Order: sequence, then C-alpha cells, then structure tokens
Amino acid sequence: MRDEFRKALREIHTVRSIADIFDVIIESIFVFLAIYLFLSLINLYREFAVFPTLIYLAFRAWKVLTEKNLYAVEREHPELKERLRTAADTLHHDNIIVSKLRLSIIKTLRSVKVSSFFHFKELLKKLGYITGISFVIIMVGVYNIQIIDMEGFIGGGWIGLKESLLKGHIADSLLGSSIDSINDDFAMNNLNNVNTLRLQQESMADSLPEDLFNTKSFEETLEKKKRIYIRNYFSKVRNY
Amino acid sequence: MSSVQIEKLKHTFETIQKELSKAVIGQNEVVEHVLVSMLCNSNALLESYPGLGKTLLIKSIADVLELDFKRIQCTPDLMPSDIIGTEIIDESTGKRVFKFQKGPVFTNILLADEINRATPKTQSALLEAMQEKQVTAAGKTHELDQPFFVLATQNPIEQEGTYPLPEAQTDRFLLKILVTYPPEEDEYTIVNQYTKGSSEKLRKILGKNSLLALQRFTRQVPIANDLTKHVIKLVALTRSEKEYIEFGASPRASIGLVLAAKARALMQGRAHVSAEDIRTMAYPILRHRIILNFEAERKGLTTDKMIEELLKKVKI
Repeated sequence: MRDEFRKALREIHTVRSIADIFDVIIESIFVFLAIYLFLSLINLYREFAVFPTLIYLAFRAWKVLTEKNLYAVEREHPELKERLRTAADTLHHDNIIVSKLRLSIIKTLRSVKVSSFFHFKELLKKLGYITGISFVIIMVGVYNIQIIDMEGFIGGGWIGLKESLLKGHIADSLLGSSIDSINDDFAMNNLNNVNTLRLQQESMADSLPEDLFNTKSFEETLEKKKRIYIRNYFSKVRNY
Repeated sequence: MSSVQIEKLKHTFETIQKELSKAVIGQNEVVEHVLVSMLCNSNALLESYPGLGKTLLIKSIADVLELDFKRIQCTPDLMPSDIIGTEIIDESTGKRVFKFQKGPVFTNILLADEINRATPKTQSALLEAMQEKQVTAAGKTHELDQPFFVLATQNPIEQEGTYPLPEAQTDRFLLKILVTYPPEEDEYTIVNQYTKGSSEKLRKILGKNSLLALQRFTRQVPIANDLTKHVIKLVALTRSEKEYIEFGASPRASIGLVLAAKARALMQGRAHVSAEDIRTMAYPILRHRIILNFEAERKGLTTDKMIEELLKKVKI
C-alpha cells in the first residue's frame, strides 16, 4: 500500500508541476506582450520587454515549484483536504490507521481526472488575452500609433546613436560639438589633400612632359584625317 | 480495524453521547472533551459554578464506559492518606503486620469533587497518581489500575473557601473544561426529567479493554507536519506575547494539543487530524496554562478571548 501511495504521490507531483510550468509560460508570454505594447506606445526600446518577462518567468516558476503542490491539489479537490498532506508527511510511518488513510486516498484519487489539474477555462481566457494583445500590437505597428516619443525625448540613448551612426545621418544636436570638430577636421583634411595634389602637380610639371598632365588621350590630340589614315594602315597590316 | 470500522467510531461515540444525554441534558461539548481526555489517557479539570451537573456527568461516563468509579469530596480537612491509602495493622493472620489499605485512588475514574476546596498538600498528593499512574505510601510504590483518570471539578476561584490549584498540578490536567449554564430549553428538559422521580438506567457502550485499545489507536492517528508546526507556533506565542500574558504554556501543552486533536479526529471517525481539531482543542488545552497579566485583567480580557486572538495570529 505504501509503494502504491508513493507512486500516486509522484504522479501528482509530476502532473501538477507540468501544469504549473505550462501556466507560467502562458502568463509570461502575456506579460511580454503587455510590456512590448506599452513600450511601443511610448516608443521606448521595445526589445527591453524581454528582461522584465524573464524576471517574471523566473520568479513565478520558482514560486510554483517551491510551493507545496499538495496544497494546490487539496484546494482543487476538497475531498482530499488535509488527508493528502497528512499521508505524504507520514510516508515513513506504518501503522493500521496510516494504512487506512492511504487506502482511502488512493480510492479518492481514482476518481480524480488528470485533466482536473489543467484549468481549461483559465487557459482559454489567457489565450484570448494573448490573441487580443497581439492584435493590438499589430495595429499599433501598422498605424504607427504612439502616445509619446520617449526615445526622441531622452535623445535616443546608445541604441539611437548606434543606429544613426550606421545610417550615416548624425544630427548635430545629437552629437554636439564633438562631432562638429570631427566634421571640421574631415573637411580640413579633404582640403589639405586637394592642395597637396595640386602642389605636387605643379612641382613635377617642370621635369615631366606636359602631355602627362593632359586629360585627353593621345588619339584625341590628332586630326581626324590622320586618325583615319593610321587606322586604315593598321587594318591593312593586320590583313597582310 | 478496517477503514469501515474507523468510520464506525464516529457512530460509537455518537451513541455514547446519546446515552449520556439521558442523564446529562445538553453539554455535548463538555462530554466530547471529557471523552477526548480519556482517549488521551489524561486527566481533566471541570470548572463551573455549583449545580451544573459536573459530578453527574462523570458518574454517567463511568457507567457508560463500564469503568470503576470512586469519588472523593474535597474539603479543607481532607488528608493525602484519605486519597492514597494508609498502612493499617492487620491481625487477621494471627500476627500483627502492617497492611496497605488502598485508598479511593485505586480505581479507573477518580472524581475529585471540588478539588479547589482541598488544601494544597492534599491537592499535591494527587500529582504522582495523575502523572505517573502510581502512588507511593510508606516507601512502597503501588501501580494504579489501567485505565486511570482523575476527573476533578472545581468552582471558580472567586468563590469563598477555595485554594487555587498549584501551577504544577494545573499543568498535569490535559484539559480544563468549562461547564456553562444550560440554555433555557435544556433547563426546561432538566427540570422535567429530575422532578419525575425516576431516572433511566444507562447502557454500557464500551468496555475497559476497548477503551485501552482506543487509547493506543489515538496515538497512531497521523498528523500533517505543518499542523504540528502550527501547534508549536501557537504554544510558543503564548510565551512570547508579553502584552497581556504573564506566563505562557509549556511544551507539555504542545504535546497535549496534538494528542487531543488526534483523539478528537478518532472520535469523528477520521484517520487524520484536521485544523478544525486543533482550533477546537486549543481552548481547553491552553486556558489553564495561560496566566494573564494585570493589563489583560484591567481590559477585561479572558483566557479564551486571548486564545482566540492567538489562533487568529497563527492562522491555523
């Protein structure tokens, strides 16, 4: 009888834990979507919704797994009230009354369905909320609805800066004087490069033929008649 | 004992109560608590004003449970030897030898009527009998019959000519049961029944051996760990709650409360202790073990009220 009861107890723990964890995951999805929607509405780093969700998930999972499953089972099945806990606590005792208690619990448990550990009504309600909030999030995205632009208000922060840098349109107000000086330096460097090239060309002009700096090709400098004459000459040589 | 028989116990105790109700009208809770005390193999103290049927109740219980019953009327001149017994000179064998003449304590149920009218010395003489189930006279120890209970009655100490029981002795009573005035309709039945002149003879429901077996089963009733922890917390609270309590209960109260809850569960035909058992038994277990301070008295608090508050705090 003791082994049979022990097996029944293990079964209860397993089913109950699975049901609890499933419930917590569903709740966490809802929490993520709710926070995501909120952040979307105030336009503040939506991807950060994952952190409070993870905290919530960890806390709830810890709570349901450390909570005595048997309390919850007794709450759902009042006919087992106090009996189940008592029998579980006296698992190592063996006397006639404890045996009778175990027997009566096993008899009661036979009429308890596994599905009773899952609250389908609650589950459907939560899935309904998730569907609803997902729809709202899509609508918010499609119509670009914002209550306030927090990202713009706090100046973009580091993510905004990174995005701007990648996209290459850095607002002066965003970067302040530091980017101005960089731009100034860049312009100055560019100017310097142009000047250097011109000076180099001028100094080398004395020692090198002039046509080296000409932008036209050699052929372009010849008259049209001469060009035709030369082309014909080379055509004949090739055929020969 | 099968599970069916455990459930049958409820019926057995209901039958006992029904049988007792032929003699004692109402007072179901008092009867239940006296039976709890007997299942725990412990002693009970019944307190009430005179004329509420305490003595009749105990005598009736002895009849229904087929137990030997003796009664001592405690008075200020009652001596310890009047209870325990004494050495007398026996000449029946032709020789003069000392022989122990057993006192009324050698019985199954000893009714110490109006115990608080006896002197502290005589009250203390009952200590060994109550706790050890034995008595010592002339340096010789005598085992008492089993089962043995002292069911004492007392009038409230405000009454004149009484000696408050020593704390050590009070603690040895598992329960202190308050017998209250009956409601009007019960009193009507009492008056009618006792003015007719004929009283119904009570049937014997349980034998001595059955009672001893039930005492063994009582200790086997399992209790959940969290309920035991609640009991310990409750008793500890009586010691730490200094605002209104002068002295709290000892660990003996924790043991007593768990045991009494087990007995009540068995009487209800249950194979486990419930929180309700603890809540119900907390009052008779703790009320004589808590001594309230002046502040509590000034505010008109009673021990029962205090226990109620403590139960709320512990949330059993």
